[in-house]
Amino acid sequence: MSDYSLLFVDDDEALLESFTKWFSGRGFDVTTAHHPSLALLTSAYKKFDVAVTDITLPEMNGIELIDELKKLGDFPIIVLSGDQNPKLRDVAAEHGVYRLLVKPVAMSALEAIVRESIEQAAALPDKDITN
Amino acid sequence: MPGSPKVLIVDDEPDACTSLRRILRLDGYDVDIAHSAAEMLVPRQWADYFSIILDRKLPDGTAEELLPDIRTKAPHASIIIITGYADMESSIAALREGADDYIIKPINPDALRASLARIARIRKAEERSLQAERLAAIGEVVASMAHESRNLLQRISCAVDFLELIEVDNPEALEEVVRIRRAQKGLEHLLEELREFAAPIQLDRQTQSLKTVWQDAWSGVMVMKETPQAQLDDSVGEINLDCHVDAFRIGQVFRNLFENSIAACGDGANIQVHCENGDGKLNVVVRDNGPGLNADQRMNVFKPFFTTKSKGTGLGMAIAKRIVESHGGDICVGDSTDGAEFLISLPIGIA
Repeated sequence: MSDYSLLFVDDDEALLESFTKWFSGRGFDVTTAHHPSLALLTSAYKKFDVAVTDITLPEMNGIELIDELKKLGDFPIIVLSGDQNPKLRDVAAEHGVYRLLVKPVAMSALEAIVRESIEQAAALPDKDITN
Repeated sequence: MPGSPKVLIVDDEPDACTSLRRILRLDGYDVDIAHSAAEMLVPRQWADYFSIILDRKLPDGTAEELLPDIRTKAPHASIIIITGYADMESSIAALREGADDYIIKPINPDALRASLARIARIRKAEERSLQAERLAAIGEVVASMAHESRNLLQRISCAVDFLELIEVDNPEALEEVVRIRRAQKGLEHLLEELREFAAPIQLDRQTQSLKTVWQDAWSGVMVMKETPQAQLDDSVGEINLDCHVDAFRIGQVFRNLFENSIAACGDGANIQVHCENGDGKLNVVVRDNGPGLNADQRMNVFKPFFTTKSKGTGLGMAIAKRIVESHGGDICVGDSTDGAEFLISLPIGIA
């Protein structure tokens, strides 16, 4: 399978639709979740190459979600948030976030960062040797 | 003088009134006089008074009797009671009734000046803390509004990205795409400025030459595309320009001033920066050769959302004022009649 699998988490469903449309048309296998619990449920049985998540989510914040996702698999996580709080940058770094992006980003720019994160993860030695 | 702070003197001794008026006028106050309680209570613009100087014993009333009424009529004016030594007890009673200060007869001009200055300082501190509270409230609203707006901007951005792909062979449509993107950028810029305006300012202060700060700001403005030709004249001579400031923040103040000047002057802007040291402060004058500020602009230039530029958000100078004040400094419009002039005063040492 040559498609990269991509998980999008955002409570804005209209946005998820646009993301799906863009990335499916460009060789990605896209899964979306508008709720963190749905994201966790999906990740429990599907292996993702990269996840892009919002920070402000219902019931669980994005940082908590990132910690949970990290337990399920070793893949890069990109945060795409409407929150400009400068503290978020430090928090994101502490929790091993690959990149913190502030909305809005151009789709082509987001795609470039998604691809870059996958390539970098693949280049890491001994990755997922136990799987 | 229009715009000068107004003071009302209420004293039954005409000579005392006249000499007080002379002293206060020299200090830039606009002075009204009343010789009795009855004369004081005639209809007048109570809201205009910065201070009311009230003799404790008038032929037709005492300060204690008159204070509640004055407080109601002029809730924002500070009240200074004039008293003799023997009246000390009742002067203290007057303070309890809501007077702000008292001075003892015969009036020593310096004591009166000190009292008015102290009141002005307290007033300013109160205004600042009120402003800080207001900003904190605005900050919360702005943060949540910005967050929601950014989600919507992301939706627009996605849709426009698609549209551009679909209409790749339609130049007319692509032109519209560019327009939408430009509007989107404008909105993003506004959100960024709003956030900056309402967020608490945390300073990272270091002692450094202010000249480096404004020269960096100048280079920053000059490298921006579309900046017209402009000249900076900042030969300040042999004075110590070291200041304990947050270079980025104060740089922002200079950037705003320079950008405004260049926008107002167009090609051939000449901007002068002068400095002088004094009183533990570094006083900086930034002046340009543009059309200057009219009365309306002078009055409102630091108010949020006030702008004369077609492009601005109107927050630049309001942010500049916040930054300078958070350093314990001051920024105001100067008196120059040719060109705009701004005066910035910054404390030199560690505040």
